[in-house]
Amino acid sequence: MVDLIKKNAKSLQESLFSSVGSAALTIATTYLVINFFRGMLGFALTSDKDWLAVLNNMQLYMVQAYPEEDFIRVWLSVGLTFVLAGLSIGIWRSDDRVKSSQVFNSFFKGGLGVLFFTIIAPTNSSFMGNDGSVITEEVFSMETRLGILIPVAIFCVIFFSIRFININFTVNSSDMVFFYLFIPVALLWFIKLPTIQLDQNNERIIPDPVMPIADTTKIPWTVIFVSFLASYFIGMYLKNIKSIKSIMSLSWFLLPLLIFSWIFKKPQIDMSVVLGSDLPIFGAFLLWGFLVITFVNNSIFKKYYSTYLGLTFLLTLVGVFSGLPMLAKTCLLLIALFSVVVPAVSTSSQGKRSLLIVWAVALVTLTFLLRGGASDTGIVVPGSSIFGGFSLTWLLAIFGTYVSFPLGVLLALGRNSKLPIIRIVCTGIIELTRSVPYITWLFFASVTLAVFLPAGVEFNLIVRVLMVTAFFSGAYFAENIRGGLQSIPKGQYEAADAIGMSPFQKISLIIMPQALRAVIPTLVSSAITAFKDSSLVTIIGLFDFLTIGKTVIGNQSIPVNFVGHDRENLIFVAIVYWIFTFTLSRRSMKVEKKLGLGER
Amino acid sequence: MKNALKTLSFFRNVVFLKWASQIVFLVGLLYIIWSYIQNAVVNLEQTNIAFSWGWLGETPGVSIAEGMYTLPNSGRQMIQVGMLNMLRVTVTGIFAATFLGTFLGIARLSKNYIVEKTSTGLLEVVRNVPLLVQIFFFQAFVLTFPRLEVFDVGTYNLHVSAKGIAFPWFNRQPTAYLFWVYLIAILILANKIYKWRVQILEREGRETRPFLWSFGIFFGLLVAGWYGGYRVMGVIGFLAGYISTGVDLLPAIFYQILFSSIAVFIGYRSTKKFIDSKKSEEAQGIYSDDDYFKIILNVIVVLLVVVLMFSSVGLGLSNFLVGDELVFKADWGVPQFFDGVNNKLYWNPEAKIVLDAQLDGMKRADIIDWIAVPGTEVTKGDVIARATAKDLKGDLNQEISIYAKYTGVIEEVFVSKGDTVKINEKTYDIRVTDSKPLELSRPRIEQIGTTKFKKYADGFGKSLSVGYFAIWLGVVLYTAIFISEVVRAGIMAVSKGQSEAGLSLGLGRGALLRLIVLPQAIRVMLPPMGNQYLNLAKNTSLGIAVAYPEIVAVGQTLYNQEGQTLPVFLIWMAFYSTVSLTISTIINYYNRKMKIVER
Repeated sequence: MVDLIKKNAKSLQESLFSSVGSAALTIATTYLVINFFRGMLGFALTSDKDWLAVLNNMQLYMVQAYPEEDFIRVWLSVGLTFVLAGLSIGIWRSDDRVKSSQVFNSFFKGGLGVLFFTIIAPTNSSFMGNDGSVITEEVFSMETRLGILIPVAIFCVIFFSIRFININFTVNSSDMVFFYLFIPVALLWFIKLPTIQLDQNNERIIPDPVMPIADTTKIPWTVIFVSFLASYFIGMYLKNIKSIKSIMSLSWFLLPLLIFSWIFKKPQIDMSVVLGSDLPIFGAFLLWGFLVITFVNNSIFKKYYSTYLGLTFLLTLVGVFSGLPMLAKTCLLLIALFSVVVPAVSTSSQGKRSLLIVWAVALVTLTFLLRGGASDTGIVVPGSSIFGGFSLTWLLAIFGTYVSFPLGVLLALGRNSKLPIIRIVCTGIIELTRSVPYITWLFFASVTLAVFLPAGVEFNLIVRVLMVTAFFSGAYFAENIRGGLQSIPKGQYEAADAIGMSPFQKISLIIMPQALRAVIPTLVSSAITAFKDSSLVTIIGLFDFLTIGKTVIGNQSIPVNFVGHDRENLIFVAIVYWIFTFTLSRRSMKVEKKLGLGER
Repeated sequence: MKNALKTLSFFRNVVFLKWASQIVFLVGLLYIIWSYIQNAVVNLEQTNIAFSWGWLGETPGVSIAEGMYTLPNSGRQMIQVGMLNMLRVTVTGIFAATFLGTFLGIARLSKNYIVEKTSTGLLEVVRNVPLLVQIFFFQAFVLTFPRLEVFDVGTYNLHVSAKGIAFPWFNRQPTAYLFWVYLIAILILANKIYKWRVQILEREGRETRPFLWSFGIFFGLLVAGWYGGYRVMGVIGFLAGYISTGVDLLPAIFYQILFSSIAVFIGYRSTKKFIDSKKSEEAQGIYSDDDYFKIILNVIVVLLVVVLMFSSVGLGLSNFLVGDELVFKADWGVPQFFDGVNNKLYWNPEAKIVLDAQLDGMKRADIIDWIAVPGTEVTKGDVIARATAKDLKGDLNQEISIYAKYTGVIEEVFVSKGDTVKINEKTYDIRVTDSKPLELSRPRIEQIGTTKFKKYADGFGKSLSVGYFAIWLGVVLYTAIFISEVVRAGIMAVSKGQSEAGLSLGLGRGALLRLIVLPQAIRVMLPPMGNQYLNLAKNTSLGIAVAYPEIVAVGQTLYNQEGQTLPVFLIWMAFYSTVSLTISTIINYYNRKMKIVER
């Protein structure tokens, strides 16, 4: 014990007080930091702040005006994300084990943090009233301080001294995630929070009564946590299935699309149309695909395969311009493309089986999407778009990336192309787009873009914003990817040429995988920037997460008065953005390390 | 090769395919662009807002919260105010962010645990929160202070209210511009002297004390300059007056011919250089189809420039350069620019007086009494004249005072007793001599006219509006954090052997950083630093969110007023491109200068 203190003291002295200058710097910085935290705590605790402005508006923050009877869709979306996360954690379960001492140490450190803030918290804090006078009030009484200090100190001492008793066990690091998540979910059932209640005159009761958390919050979260845990075990069980990892990656890619359509539409499906027209078409094309797969190796069919292909394409061409139902047209197009692929893939019986599964899944999805897309939505949002609050921010960030990334790849290839005209055009697009700030492009989307569209064509503002974002983020992605392309040695191109690859094969199989891998960190940081930039739509009047905090809540005046409580809301908004971007950047650093980038 | 080409059918020829596909692509692209423009023309006709630039000359009839002119008399002037406001944030922001960023970057490399962790913590917080949220927070922070009206009229040291932040500041006197030019001149001189002394030191090996020399001369000249010596720079204004007169005489066609010949000359020279390079031994005079394309492109570009110069675009540009009063009403031409230089950098520049009259409905004032005749010494804020303000109908209404905006001895007065002055224009010229270039003053709260509203007095201390404070602080902090990462990476890129070698030579830590590490780190740092500056310039556009009237906000006000969204968008594009290009040119210049000279 004494040795430990001695050792620590020595390293402390070396790092903090090695010279007079260093000591002065240490003291000055410590003073600044402590005063900063004191100021922040004092700021948060004075009576002119109303934190219920944040707490009371969680629903608004998340989904804005989404109708309450359809909330089950939102909960299911969140649940689905967690289930997929649980499965992924189970499948990619690491074998790293955390020692008990490390766990206790982290508890000890957490306790120390709480102790630090309890000790430095100011007793009195002051703010300026409306008449310019300074009001000072007690915000943190001695009883409260001691009430927190003593239990936390005991907690710290316990976890500090546990280190000297020999308890040695290890925990899987993935399991710890669930332990840390269990704590807030369990707390939901025990803690009580001040809640806004109105009396008979429809006025707010002051002080706010302390009440347990509503069932509509804690039950869904508990269910989600349980299914998260269950999917984790299922994931561990599924771990050894071949190609499960690529299926998971694909589902992560498709999940936002599913959630989008799920939240956007509650299809009012007309069953007579489904039975009368959709099902027969579905059955016919399923049979068609089945026949093609079955007989593809038949020698006679093989002989006339090109004739069959030609006929199919002709039929498709005729069909697309005829009065067939939309589903039939799309299926024709799909079967034509499918027929091209089949002979290349289905050689073994196993290949045939998986092809059949793919075909069936594709047909089901197509039928479902087309019927769902064509029918009316049952979700009615009065006066604004279905997406608002965090769901809009999420939509803009994810779909912005989805549409801009492919465009970025194309622009980067164009700029690196040997064809001068294409190169000049792509360079022009990239440079013009990048030279102007994002906000001017948003104004372009909201005001000018409509001028260029043919008469009668109109897009929703969100769609226009996505169109502009595709180009703007696309140009930035293109520049990043170009950096990756330039890092590929010339030998790679020449080697691909030497084994007779076509330009398309060369780019997609040799160059792009290497180029993209080299620039993963910058791509992630670009995606983070795109996420942060999505907050700019506030300025053109979309109701995203920031707008809710900045404008909508600031305008709530009856029966609760939240006017002038911008700072609390902005701090909350900042914290939420921070959590997402910080987690993302930390994850990308880990991936970077795993891939060994920068060590080549 | 030739034979092979003959035997191939043309549609299997690679060269043919390459160019045919590109031309098809280009034609397709142009067709798409053309059809969209057609759409725009049709749509604009239907809404009765045809594309035009006429609004640049018309009075927009809106006021701007802050800037050079708060009541601009034309759209052009309004745009000008927006541009200047944007540049104000950008230029000061770049310096502040570089300073803060370097400091933080070095702090992040500190061996001191607390310093390192604190700066890293700051980095993680600022970097991961959207800039707009931060700017909104700074705005909300100031806005929750009480309104200015609850405070008493008087002078303060530091003052925060919902109207902004005010603090003591060195305020410009009219001679300040002269002094800045003088300061730059003596800085260059000091630098030259330093280099000269170092040269002697290196040649002869004796101690020449270069730093002492240059600093001594700089300081001496600075003191001499402060007490009046800066007036020698008035020669610039003197010359500019003649240039202005000379340029005024040139016709527009001169510029058209000049630019066309420059374009032809540059095109000719680059083509010739290209052809010459092909004549070298490795190239052996063989031209690929890309090379032909380059030459043809050169010719096309030159022809395009010449045609443009003699079209309406070129005529507009030339009119702009000769300062044609009809097209560009006021002070935007080259002669007007030199006139301005003449005015600002003359040895006794024009100063201003202020009418204290922002009274509702008051349009003009008759000056009834001049107190300060030429020769009197006035201090800023002194009453130098009295006048009666009139409303539109010409009824006498109220007696008002006229204050001096600057300190000095009055030499000449341009408005005399009995003159009528327009109140809207607010400031009128007098000529002062013997004023110090800068003057420290404290902020002052004053009543606006006879209304119950108050404001921070102009020219006393410095008052930052809420919007300016929020956007400036937000942009500076955000960019500084990214610059600190650049600085850290730059310093870490210098190999450890370099510092060890420096230490083994017996250099101290300061000298090591200054002579060995930083010169090498700067090479790595400059390109990403330039990127951060570009980001800063673009991020100033968020000023619109906090009602700071920079170019985007002003543009938005304008198109709400006039309905001309496309021209405004083109102006934004041209302006931001120019700013970006300027910044990257400067960075590239330094980059080339800092490059390792390879043997």
